[in-house]
Amino acid sequence: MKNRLEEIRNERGINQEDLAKALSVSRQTISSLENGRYNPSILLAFKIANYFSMAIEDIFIYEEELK
Amino acid sequence: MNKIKSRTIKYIVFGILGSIMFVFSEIFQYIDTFWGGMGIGFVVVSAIRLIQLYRYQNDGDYAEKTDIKNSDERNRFIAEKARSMTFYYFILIESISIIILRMLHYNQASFIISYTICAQLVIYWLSYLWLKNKY
Repeated sequence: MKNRLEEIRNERGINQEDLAKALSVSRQTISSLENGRYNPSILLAFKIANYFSMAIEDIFIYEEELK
Repeated sequence: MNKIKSRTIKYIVFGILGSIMFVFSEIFQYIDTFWGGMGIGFVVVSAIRLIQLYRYQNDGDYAEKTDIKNSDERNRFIAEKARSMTFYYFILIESISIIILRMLHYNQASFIISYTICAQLVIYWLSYLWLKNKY
């Protein structure tokens, strides 16, 4: 799953540390999400969407898995 | 706060128990030195945990970092993945050990490891069934 987290965060001028604090996760989690190494739970995805006042699908882009 | 208090009491009791084991083993020599070693282990673990609990109560930054570390979903995911990998490799190592020990005629050790694998698999299947009904 791709995401626009880094792009949106940079647009809003928020650093990883502050975003991590606001979401009660570690900075490494934010970094992993941005790099696409880790997909968030639905709960964290909602938290992120709420934080940016956006819809989940505007941040996270679902891609069909290749079989 | 009650959780911290109960944990503090638990580790103090743990530490005292370790000290008693050490004294009775190493000083009075009433019990085997194995228990003395275990007692020292208890004392060290208790001391580390008590220091951590003290820091948690008195250092806001440390408390915040610890809370995030414990609740961070990626951290939990990694821990679960690591446990799963440990189980997988442990079963693999045990299976290879059973064959090697049998070839070297260490039959008793081979049997003990076989029973251990059986017990692990039974616990795995019981956990699987329980979780299957739960979720």
